[in-house]
Amino acid sequence: MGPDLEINALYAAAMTGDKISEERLFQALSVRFRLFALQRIWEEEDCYDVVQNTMLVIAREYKTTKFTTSFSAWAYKVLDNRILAYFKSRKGRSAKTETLSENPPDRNLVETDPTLEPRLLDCIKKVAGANRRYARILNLYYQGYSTREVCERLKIMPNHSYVTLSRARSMLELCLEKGVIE
Amino acid sequence: MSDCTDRRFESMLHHYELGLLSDEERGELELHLMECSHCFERVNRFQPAARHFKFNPRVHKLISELAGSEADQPVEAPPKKVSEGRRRIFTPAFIPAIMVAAIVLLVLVLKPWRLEISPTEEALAVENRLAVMYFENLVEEQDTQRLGEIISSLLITDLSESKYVRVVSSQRLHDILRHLGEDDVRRVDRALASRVAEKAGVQWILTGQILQIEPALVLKYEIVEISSGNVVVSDRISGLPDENVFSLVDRFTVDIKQTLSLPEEAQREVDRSVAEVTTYSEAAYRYYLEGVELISKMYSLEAVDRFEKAVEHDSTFAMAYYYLAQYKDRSLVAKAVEYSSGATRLERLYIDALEAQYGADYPRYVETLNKIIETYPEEKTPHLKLWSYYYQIRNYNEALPHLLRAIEIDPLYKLTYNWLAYTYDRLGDFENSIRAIDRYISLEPDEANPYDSRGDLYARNGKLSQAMASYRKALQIKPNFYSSLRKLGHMYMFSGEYARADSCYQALSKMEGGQESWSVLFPPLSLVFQGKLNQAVKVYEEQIEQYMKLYPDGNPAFLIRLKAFVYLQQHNYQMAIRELERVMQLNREKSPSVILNDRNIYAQFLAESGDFEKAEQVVEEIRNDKDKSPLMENAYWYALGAIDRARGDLDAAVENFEKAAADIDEFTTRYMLARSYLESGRLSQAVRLLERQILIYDEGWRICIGTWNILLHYYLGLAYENSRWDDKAIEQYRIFLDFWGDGDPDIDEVTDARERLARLQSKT
Repeated sequence: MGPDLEINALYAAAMTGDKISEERLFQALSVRFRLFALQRIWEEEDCYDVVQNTMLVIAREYKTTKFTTSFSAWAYKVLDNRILAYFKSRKGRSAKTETLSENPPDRNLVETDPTLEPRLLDCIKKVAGANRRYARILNLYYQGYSTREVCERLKIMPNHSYVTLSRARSMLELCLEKGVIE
Repeated sequence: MSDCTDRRFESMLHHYELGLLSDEERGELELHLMECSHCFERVNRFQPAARHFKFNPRVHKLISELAGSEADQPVEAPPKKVSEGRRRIFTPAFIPAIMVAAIVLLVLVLKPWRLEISPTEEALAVENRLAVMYFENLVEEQDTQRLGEIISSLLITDLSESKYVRVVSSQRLHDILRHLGEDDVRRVDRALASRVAEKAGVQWILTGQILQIEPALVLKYEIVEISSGNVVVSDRISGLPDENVFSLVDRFTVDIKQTLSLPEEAQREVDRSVAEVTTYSEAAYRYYLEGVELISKMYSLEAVDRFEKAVEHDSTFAMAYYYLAQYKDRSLVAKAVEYSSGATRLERLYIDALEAQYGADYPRYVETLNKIIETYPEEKTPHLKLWSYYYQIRNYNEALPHLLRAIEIDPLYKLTYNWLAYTYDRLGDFENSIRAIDRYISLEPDEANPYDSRGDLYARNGKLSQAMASYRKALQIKPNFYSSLRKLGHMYMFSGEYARADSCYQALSKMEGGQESWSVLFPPLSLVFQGKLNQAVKVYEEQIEQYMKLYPDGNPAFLIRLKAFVYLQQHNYQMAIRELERVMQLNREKSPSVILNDRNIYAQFLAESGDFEKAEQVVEEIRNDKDKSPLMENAYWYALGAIDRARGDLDAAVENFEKAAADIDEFTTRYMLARSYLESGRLSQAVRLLERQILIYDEGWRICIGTWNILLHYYLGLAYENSRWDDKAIEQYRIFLDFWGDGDPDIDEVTDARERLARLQSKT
């Protein structure tokens, strides 16, 4: 993927008939949509289907649709609608299947990099050593507390929770890349 | 790849990856990720690690160990919002998924509202309790005529007439099925029926199929005892030539009662024909059932259509009139009463209660509802109606227990959480109100009303943009959800976006069954919001004429009242009083059941004009009517407070306004109390109350009066300035002048605010 992923710019170029831009536009959309859909749909296969369907709709309609906002907002809305449609259709399944599907299947952790888990565990230890509050916040989230409740328990402002997790995440990124946190 | 231009979004990335954002926040962030390559790349690169954070139990364990003492504390799983699709699962892997679901459900339902269900109560609930499932139509799979539902509903109705068997209501069954993710009520197999029975807490379950429709109905059915799993009976019942479904159900009910182990008296009790207590028309009954279902979804316009069709087919259908009286025309309660002999015992009590309510006979209304509770302890509706009554008279402390009892009876009834959210909000418990509304959203993520309600809660707590987003979400789900459209219009008004507000009100007026009054009200109201009061007065009169042309039988009192308030602001007391007298006269003619009829405001206007003698006469009239409605008590203290204030006796004014505001969460009272605090030098109380009032974007009096909504900022500015909080005072004066600065030049408060602002700015 090239460095320039500016969706609306690619769309503008694609609308002039630039095939390369069109291809890059769909590639950029596809990778984003897969990520977004995975946030909401457990099953990877279902996720793939939803993204495919979304792409088909966009490919069919993007040249003729008049947007009230921007292309990217419209495209995102198409995805959102497809995801909602997916959930509606899923309601017909048996409740048993629904319940089981709430438990994340092992395949959510299908590993492409076997070194990732040990590296990540090591980095979490390092980050938590530097910022103990990070582990405490995460642990409370794991226990099911909302952001507000976590903040109340730890006597911190909500913004603080965002900042703490955000900084810890940056340290983790660095650690996973270079093995150190600073 | 350049850096992110919005640090707010960048700081949300880890929350996003962990699934900790609300639906709205997630949507906003993903839109950002569509356009920000920097943030997207960060999320994309980190995705493999993020999945470990979500799903890897070894990561969870490590975090727990690293958290140290925090992890040693007992886990008090708080109620969580369960949104559509993927949700947060951070539960230890060794707990079976089904247990997790059960625990979460119990916590969701029980914890925030501290309900307790003892084993004894459960056992009592099961005894002699039967669930009748929908009959599967094997002849016509789609069951377009809803025959399966009609048969089960008639059976439920007929069996419910017995004192010896308790039957789970259709509404409850519907809720349970929906909760189990089964929208298609026509496909209930035995396994699912057992799960429904378990949730409903019943001794027996009846399932069945329609084997034949023509030339006569043939049904197959089975009754199973849940505790043992034994089939009590498995049989067929065949219709006779020309026998209708009502008659067949009558015979069927007798068979069922004989089959169940009921006391001997059960066989001897009077068993009226089910048609006698419902309707003789199958079509009418079908429309009626559709209407009831639509009401449960808050789609009242569509429901009214079905109830009207029901009475077209059976003009003596009492319960169809009962609903029409509630959702279309109150006067139809008379028809419900007239034909109430054709309703069940329980329905007759409901009709009686409704008649009492509409006749303003509140003691009888409350008594009848309590009688239903006593006779039918598992009925949640009387609790909901009592909640509604106490809620409307703003006695929220009395209202809350009824709602909690309704939840105890039926934890799956989704609307209860909606009302619970509002009640907690009125009690000042925003935390629990949001918990309740999130629960409602989790139960009905695809319906508009939960989002509309969440918008209301945000609006009442100063979160204008979140309120707008929620209303928009509701409209996205149901574009003709006019309540959200109206309130979105109000939010635009509050934020000074008049063109957008107008477009909402215009759209509202064009909607079938919509509310034209707001598009009529908008032109003068928007002028008031901009301080163009002289022009507003003229436009009000034009709009009143237009309204009367459009709706010759309508009541333009709402428009005239607002005009009166503009005159009040202009100190034109003579005209203000005259217009308010018009309002009162119109209400006497067109809405005679309104007891208060603005008399407290009238007393205020009279007192402010200096006519204390007449004002006191009005107070005396209010005092004489104090027993007719609990609201009159508040009105009485309000009127007294207004007279005291006009006389300059500010301590007495404060005392009386405080009494008026004691049990009432209402804009005008609190506004007057705040002004009295300010004028009497009680600055901290004035600041506190005005700050709170400014955050309540109420769609009631605050939006309608217009002038007082804007003046809130001026008075808060004064309160701040007198408290030596110059910066805050400057801010409020600026907001005030943003609204009214370009308006009429002769508004005293504007002149004063300008001078004060200039003085404060020169100081700083």
